[in-house]
Amino acid sequence: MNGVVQDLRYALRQLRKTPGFTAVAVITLALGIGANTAVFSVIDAVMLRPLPYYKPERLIAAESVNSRAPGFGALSYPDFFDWRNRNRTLEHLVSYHDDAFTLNGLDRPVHLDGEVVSWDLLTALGVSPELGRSFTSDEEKVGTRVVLISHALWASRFASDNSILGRQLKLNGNLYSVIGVMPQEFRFPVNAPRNDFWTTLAVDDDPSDPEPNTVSRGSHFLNVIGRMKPGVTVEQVDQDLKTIAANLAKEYPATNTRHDSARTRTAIAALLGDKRPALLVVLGAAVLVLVIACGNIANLMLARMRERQREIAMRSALGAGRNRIIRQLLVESLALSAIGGLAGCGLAFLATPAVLRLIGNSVPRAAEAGVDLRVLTFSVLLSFAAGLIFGTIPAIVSSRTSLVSTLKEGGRSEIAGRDWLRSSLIVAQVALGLALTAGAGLLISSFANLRRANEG
Amino acid sequence: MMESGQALIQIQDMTKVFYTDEIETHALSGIHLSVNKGEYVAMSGPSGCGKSTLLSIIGLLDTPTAGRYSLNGKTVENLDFAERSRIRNQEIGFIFQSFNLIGDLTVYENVELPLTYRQRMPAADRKGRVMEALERVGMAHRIRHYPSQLSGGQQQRVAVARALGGTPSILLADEPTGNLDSRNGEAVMELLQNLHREGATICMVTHDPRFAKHAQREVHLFDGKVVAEEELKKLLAEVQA
Repeated sequence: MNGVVQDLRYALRQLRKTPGFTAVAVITLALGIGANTAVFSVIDAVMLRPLPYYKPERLIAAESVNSRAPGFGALSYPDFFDWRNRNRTLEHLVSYHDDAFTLNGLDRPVHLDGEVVSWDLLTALGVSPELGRSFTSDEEKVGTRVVLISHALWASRFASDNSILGRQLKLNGNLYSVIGVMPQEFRFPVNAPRNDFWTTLAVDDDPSDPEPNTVSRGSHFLNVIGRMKPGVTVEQVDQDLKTIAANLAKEYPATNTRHDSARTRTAIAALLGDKRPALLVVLGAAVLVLVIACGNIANLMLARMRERQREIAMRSALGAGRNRIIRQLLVESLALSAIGGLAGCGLAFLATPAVLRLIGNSVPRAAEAGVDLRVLTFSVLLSFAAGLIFGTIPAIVSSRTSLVSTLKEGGRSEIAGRDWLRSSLIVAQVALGLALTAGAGLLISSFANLRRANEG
Repeated sequence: MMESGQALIQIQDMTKVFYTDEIETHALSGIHLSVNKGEYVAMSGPSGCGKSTLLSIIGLLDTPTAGRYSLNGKTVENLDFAERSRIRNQEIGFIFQSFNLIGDLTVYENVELPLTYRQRMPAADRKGRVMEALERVGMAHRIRHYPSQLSGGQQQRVAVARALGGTPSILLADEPTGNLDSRNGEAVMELLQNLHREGATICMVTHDPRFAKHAQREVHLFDGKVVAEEELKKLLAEVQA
């Protein structure tokens, strides 16, 4: 341990002694690690963090499908009721669609965004209200008007008043009874973080309407999520729902011919949709940038090792084994990468909000991205890996210095022999740089084509 | 420092051949050499005679092409890199012509360096040895200086202290006065002589006959072979003619 501390002290002295090299290496690393950290913070928030519900791996999302044409569709209420009643693989199947109401009765009308859901939403998600209770099955019945409100609405419009329970809210001219307040962190759907309320599908069962939505099999506008029974797989649910959809198509050909099949995915996969490959491409590009940066620094370090050949040979002559020499040089690389990583974290901290502004609302849950402990851990590991990547080759090469010729006055042996390595690194960097540039060019051209495309 | 009289170094029929492209250079050809504990041996000869090559092999910086070499009773010519490093660290102290101090380390750290490569040596023990070695060469008052802040003679004294710090079996000095003026050169030679009087075994390569005379015994090399002094004179005369 004492030796490592000594190595570290010497490493920092070396870095101070060569400020030009240190500055170039730290800036290069900061850009590479900063870009990776910023991208990872988004990927972590979007792809890696589980959905904020109980056992989220058992949640699925399903869609209706036209087996003769591409694309996916929503469900109608009658279809949803049939899926809910006939399936044998799900504990709960929940319908939801968004809606916007106007809240009256306060000092001025307030626009509220909300979600119309089937009664067992909270049971399916495994979430309880912070205050009050969940919906009951009876509250799906016609004429019922109950509402769960968000913590933000409760705090902003009702001063977090506990007597909110049972209070009547006037929404779109109808009175709704508040039965609960949801926890501050509750989001449903997770890509609609600003929802103010949740009410039951009874609002779609308007008694004054001769054909309310709840009985109109041709009105396909519902999303559904479900919770699988224990031991059931997504494939089994998919097969189950496909069978139901096919049967419904036979039973109701007038409305369901184009909804004769189904597709089931995990809820997280459905949430990500086609964003997943795009995010992975961006991560791949960021990793490539870091690899190029590492190659660049390895090359600089090889050049620097030439100048230190005599010192390394002397250490070896004095009894330092190869492993000891490699350890010392790796400590130097890791010290450098730690400084670069710190700078990279700072850069990521500053850059992530800008990246999020660029992304906007196009990627679900991206707004939750930020440099937190998980991202910092990633950054530390990445810095460590970068230090190993750019430090290992120069360390191994330097540990094989020829002692006799190097220790001779002015001895600089094997320099020519190492040039192939430096040349190879340069060739690899150029190749990776070209690949990255070509990839970026293709992405830009695809983006430009998309912008020009006629959306119809 | 060590008992005198016993053979510390025994070299038998040692050869060293360098291959450059298709050219073979015989740096050493059938060398036999024995150095006893406590002995002070000077190896001299004209440039290119193989004296530095021989010293490198004795110091385990290089390996012979053929022949046997035993150091302190142990056969060492075929050891692997790690074992040679360990023996260099524990048995051999090096003094080079160009000092080879590490510029980014202080005097103290330079002398401490070989001791840091020893497993499980307590820091207090290390410090004691470093200070003792620096006091022996009269450089204890310069521990915080960097090599660039010292004169050539002072640097070489620090290099001697570094060689002494590990209490080695033998000190190997390769032209230790080569980069020094005559006054500093004499001072270093006097230092080596004092160390020898205290019991150190020393092998020194020099081409300067004045300094070779400080040793107990002189080994003359010519064309990779050990020759007698008279024969060396004759051979040199022939070359000059």
